[in-house]
Amino acid sequence: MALLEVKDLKTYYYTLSGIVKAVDNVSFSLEKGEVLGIAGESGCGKSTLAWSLLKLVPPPGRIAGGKILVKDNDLTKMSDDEVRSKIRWKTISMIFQGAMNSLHPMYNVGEQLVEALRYHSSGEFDEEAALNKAAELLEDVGLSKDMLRRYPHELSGGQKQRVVIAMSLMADPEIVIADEPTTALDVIVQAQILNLFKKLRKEKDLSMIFITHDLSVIAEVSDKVAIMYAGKIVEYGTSEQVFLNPLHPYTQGLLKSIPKIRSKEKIEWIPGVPPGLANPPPGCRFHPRCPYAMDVCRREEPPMIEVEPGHYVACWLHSKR
Amino acid sequence: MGLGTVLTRRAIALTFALIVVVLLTVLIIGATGYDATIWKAIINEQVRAYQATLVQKQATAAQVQQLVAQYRNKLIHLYGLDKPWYVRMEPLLINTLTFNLGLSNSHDVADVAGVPYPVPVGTAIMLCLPRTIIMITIAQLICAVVALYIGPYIAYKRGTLFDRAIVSYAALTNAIPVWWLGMIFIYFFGFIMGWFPTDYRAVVYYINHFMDDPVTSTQYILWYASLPIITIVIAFLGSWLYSVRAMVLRVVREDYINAARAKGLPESVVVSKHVLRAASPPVVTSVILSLAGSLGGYIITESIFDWPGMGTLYWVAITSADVPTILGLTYMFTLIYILARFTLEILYIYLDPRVRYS
Amino acid sequence: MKSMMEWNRELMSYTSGKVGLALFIFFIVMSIYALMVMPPNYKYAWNDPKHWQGYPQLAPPSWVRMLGYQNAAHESQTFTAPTSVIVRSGYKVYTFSMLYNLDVKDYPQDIVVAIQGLKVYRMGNRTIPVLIQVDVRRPDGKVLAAVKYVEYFNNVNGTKAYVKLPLTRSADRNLIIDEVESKILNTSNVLLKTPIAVSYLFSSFKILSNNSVLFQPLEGPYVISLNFYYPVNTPYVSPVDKATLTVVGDCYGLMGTDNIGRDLAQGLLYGFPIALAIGFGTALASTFIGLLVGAVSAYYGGWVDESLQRLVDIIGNVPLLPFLILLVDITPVGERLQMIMLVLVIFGWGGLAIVIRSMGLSIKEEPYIDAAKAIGLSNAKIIFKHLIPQVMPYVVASLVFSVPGAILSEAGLSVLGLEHGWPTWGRILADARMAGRYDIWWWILPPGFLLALTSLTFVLLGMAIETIVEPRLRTL
Repeated sequence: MALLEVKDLKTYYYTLSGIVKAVDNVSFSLEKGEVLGIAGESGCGKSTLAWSLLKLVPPPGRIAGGKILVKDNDLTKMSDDEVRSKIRWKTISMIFQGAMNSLHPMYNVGEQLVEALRYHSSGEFDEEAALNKAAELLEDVGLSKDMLRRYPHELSGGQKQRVVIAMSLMADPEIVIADEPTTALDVIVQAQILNLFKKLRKEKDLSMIFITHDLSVIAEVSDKVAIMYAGKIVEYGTSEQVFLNPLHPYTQGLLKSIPKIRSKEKIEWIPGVPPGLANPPPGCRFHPRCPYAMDVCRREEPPMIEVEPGHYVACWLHSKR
Repeated sequence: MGLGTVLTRRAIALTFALIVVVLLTVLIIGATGYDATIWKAIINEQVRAYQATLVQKQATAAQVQQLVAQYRNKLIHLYGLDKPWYVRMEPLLINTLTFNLGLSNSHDVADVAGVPYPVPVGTAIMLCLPRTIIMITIAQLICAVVALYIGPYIAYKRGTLFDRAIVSYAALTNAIPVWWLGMIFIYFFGFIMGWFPTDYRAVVYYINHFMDDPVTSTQYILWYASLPIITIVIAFLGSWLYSVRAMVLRVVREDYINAARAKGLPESVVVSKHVLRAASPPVVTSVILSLAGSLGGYIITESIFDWPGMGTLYWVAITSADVPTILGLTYMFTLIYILARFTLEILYIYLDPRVRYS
Repeated sequence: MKSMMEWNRELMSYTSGKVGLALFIFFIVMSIYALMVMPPNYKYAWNDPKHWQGYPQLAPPSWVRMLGYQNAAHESQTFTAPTSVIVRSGYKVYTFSMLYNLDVKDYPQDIVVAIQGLKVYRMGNRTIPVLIQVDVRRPDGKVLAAVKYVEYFNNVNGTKAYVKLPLTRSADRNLIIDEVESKILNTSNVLLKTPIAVSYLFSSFKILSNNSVLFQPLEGPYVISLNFYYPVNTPYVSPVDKATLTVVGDCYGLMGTDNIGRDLAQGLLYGFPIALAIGFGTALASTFIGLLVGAVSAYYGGWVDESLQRLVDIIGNVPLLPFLILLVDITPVGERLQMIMLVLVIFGWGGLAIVIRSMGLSIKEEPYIDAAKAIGLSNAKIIFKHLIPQVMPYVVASLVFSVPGAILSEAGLSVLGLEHGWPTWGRILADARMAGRYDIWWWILPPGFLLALTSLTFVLLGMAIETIVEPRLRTL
C-alpha cells in the first residue's frame, strides 16, 4: 500500500472563457520516506496539483475526476470537514510558494506555529506544550527560539522560509509538499535550505513532494521524478532513470538547459512557450515545440507506457503503433 | 525613529493643521469684509434705536444729529471697525483656539439651541451635539455594525446572486443623494402614510427637558429620530457593505489566508482570526473617520429634516451671519476630525506590528 | 500602455462597464442636444416669470391623461394670417380661431393670447385704437368674451407695435363673471366665488335655492377666437405678424411645470450640459493638480515632498462642506457656481495626491528611472514620460469617480438655499422645497432621479475601470 496514490486526477478551472485543464489525468504514487520531485515550466499545473492534494483548489477550480488515495482513503470522496480535520497539516502539510507572503503579517511566529497545532491535537498539547514544540522545531530548522516573538516583517527571506518549514512540521505530518521552496531565495540560502530538507527527511523519515521548475534542485533531493508539461505528466521514473536516460524530448530539452560548470557543452533551450491550458493543441501537447514531431503526434495523444521497470513515458517515439 | 517620536511628530503636524484651518476661517471672514458688513448692519440697527429714543425725549434736530454721530463713532470704535481687519481678527483667532468661543449674536442660533437669546456658542454646541449623535452618529453606527457583520460574508459569496444584489444596491444608494431620499421619505412616510412626524424641530423640547420625564422623552425622541435614522441607514448601508467587502476581498486572496486554510483551520476561524485581522486597519479607519465625521452633522440632511443638530446650527449661523458660531463650529468640526486622526495613529500601533516596530 | 481599443474592449466585458458607458453616451448626447437648442439668454428667461405666462402652473406632464387622469389638455396655436376677415357693424374684424375639445371633467387654467407686431392704423396724423377681444363659443352655443381690451397707440411712430416683446393678455376675471351672469345665468343675484374665473367659461351651471351656484365642467368642442376690430378701410391682410392663442390646460409637455409655470422638461434638459460642465470641470482640475503634486512630491522628495505633504495634511483636515457653504455664502450670486467649483478644486486634490505619491515612490525605485537619469533626461521629462503614464489608469478611474461630487455638492447647496441663478437640477429641487411642495411628484422626482443617474453612471464606469486597473477586484 502506497502512502499516497494519485490516479487519473483531473483538476479544472471553470472560467468564463472556458474550461482550463490545469491538471489532466495525472497519476503517481509516493511511498513512506520517499521524495518525489515534480518538475516543469511555470504554468504547467504544478501548483494546482499541490492544492488539489489538500482539496483546496481556489475557485472557480475544482477536482473534476480521479482519485487521491491517502492510505487507501479517497480524499475526493471525503467531506470538507473530514479533509480539514484529518488530512490538512495532520497528514499532508505544505510549504508554500513564496514563503514571504505565507506568514500572516500581524501575528508573531509563535502564534502562527502554535495555531497549526491548536485545531489538530485533541487536547494533548496545551498552549505551553505547543510553544515548547514550536521552539524545538525552530531549533531543528536552525533558528533560535527567540524567533517565537518576532513578527514576519522582522525576518529575512531565509529565516521566513525556515519558519514556514518549521510550521509545516508542527502537526507531525507524514507527507510534506514543498512548492518552489527555494525559488525566491539567493543561491547560498537555497543550498542551506536544501541541506535542511535532506537533514529533516532523514531525521523524521518524511515523505515529500518537491515541486519546482529547477531540475537541479530535484536532482539534489529526489528519489523519483515526474516531469509535467501542460497539465500532464510526460515522464515518470526514478531519479537515475530520468536524469541518466531521459526519454521524452521535453525532459531532454529541460536537462540540456541546465548549465554545467565543467562541461564544454553549449546550453540549449526549448524554443517556444508552453501552450495555454484553456485551449491546448490536439494530439501530444508538446508537438509544436518538439524537434521530432511526427504526423501521429499532431493527431493522437500518446499513451503512458512503461519502457523499463518503473520508468514511464508518454511519447510516440517510444510506443509502438 | 522611536514610536514616541513618530507620534509626537504626528501630533505636532495635526495641531499645525488645526491652527491653519482656524486661521483660514478667520481670514475668509476678515479679509473679505464679511465681518465688517455684519458689524455695520448691527451698528446701524443700534444707532436707529438710539435715534428713536432721542426723538422720544424731544431733543432738537441738531442735538440728535450730534449725539447720533457721537454714538455711532463710539460703536465703531467699540467693535473695532476703525482698525484694519487683521487687528480685529487677532483676538478672534486667539479666543477661538483657547475655546473662548464667546456669545452668539443671533436669535436664530438661540432658537435652534432651544434656549433664550443670547446663548454662549459653547452652550449652543453642547446642546446640538447630542441631537446630531442621536440622529446621525447612531445611524452610522448601525451601518458600521451591520456592514462588519455581513460584509465579510458577502466577500465570501462573491459572484453569487446575493453578492450581485448587494453590489447593485450599493451602486444605487451610493448614487442617490441622502437629502433627496429624505425629502421623499418625509413626504411619503410622513405626509401620506402618517407613520412618522413631519415637523422635527419639536424634538428640542424632549431633549432639552429629558430629565423631567425620561421615559416619555425617550419615546418621543425615538419617534422623532426614527425616520432620519432609517433614511441615513438606507442611504449609507450600501456603501458600507461595499467597502467592507472590498477590504476583505483585498485580503482573502493573500497567500497567508490560503496558508491558514491549508493548516486545517475551520473557515470561521480563518475569517475571524486571519481575514478580519488583516483587513482591520482600513476597516477601523473608515469606522472611526465616519463616526467622527458624523459628529459634525450632515448640514443638508439635517436641514431637510429641520433637525436641530450641529449641521442646522451651522447653516443658521451662516444665514444669520453669526461670526462667533461659525468660527466655533468650524473649530469644533476640525478638532473632532483631527482627534479622530490621532486616535487612529495610536490604534494602528495596536493593530499593525509593522507600524509598531518601524 | 493599453491602447484605446483594448481599453474599450475590456470595459465592455463588464456589465457595469457596458451600462455605465451606455449611460455616459446618453449624457453626452443629451448635453450636445441641449446646447444646440438652448437659447442664448436661457439663464435669464428661466428666472423671468413673464417668460412663463402662457404655461399652466403646477401642471403634471401631458401623458398622465393617457393614464386616465382628468386633466384638461393644453393647446396652443400660432397664426400668421387670420382665419377670416369680415366687415361687421362698421368694423373690419380680423378673426383667428382655434378649436379646443374639452374631453375630461376638468377646467383649463387660463386662456392667454400673445401678439407680436400689432399693426398701427393711421388716419392723418391720428392713430386709431384697436379693440382686441377673445370669444369662447361653447358646446351649448353660448358665446362668452374672455378678454376685451382696447389698445391705444400712443407715441408710436412706425406701423407696428410690440415687435420685440409680445403683448400678452390672460383671461379677465371680472369680464368673465359679468358675461356668465348676463349671458348664461341671466341674473347677478348669485354668488360666484371661485377665484379662477376661467373655469366658468368651461362650465355648466345650476342655481341652488340659497343663491349659490353649482357648476361642473361642460365637455365638448369649444371654438376660441381672437378678434381684432379695425376701421372698415384698413388695408392690412393680417393685423399682426404673429398671434398665439393658448388654452392653458391642466397638464403640460413631457415633464409638467412648476409653480410659476416653468416647463420642467426644458429645465431638466438644460441641466445636462450644466451638470456635466460642473462635474467634469471640477474633476479634471482637481485630478490634474492631484496627479502633478503627487508625482512631484514622490519624484523630488526632500523638502519639496515635506512641504507638499504638510499642504495635503492641511487641506485634508479642512471641514469641506462648512467651508464651501461659508465661501459660497459670501460670494455674489452671479459668481457662486464658479466659487463652488473653485473651492472643490482647491480642497479636492489631496486624496489623489497621497495615492499618486505612494505609487510614484515605488516607481521611482524601478531601474528604468535610473536609466533615464543616466542618459540625461530632464526631471520634467522623466516625470511626464515615465512616471505619469504608469499611474494613468488609476488616475482615470479616480477622475471618473470624482465627477459626480461637484454636481451633488452644487445640488445640495441649492437645496440648502444658496442661490446661484443657474437652472440646474439642484435648483429645480430647491424651488420645490422653497415652495414646500414635496407632493408635486413631477417636480421632486425627475431632478433627483437625474442626479442619481449621473452618479450611477460614473460609479458604474469607475467600478469597471477600477476592476481593469486593479485585477485583484476581478471576479474570475
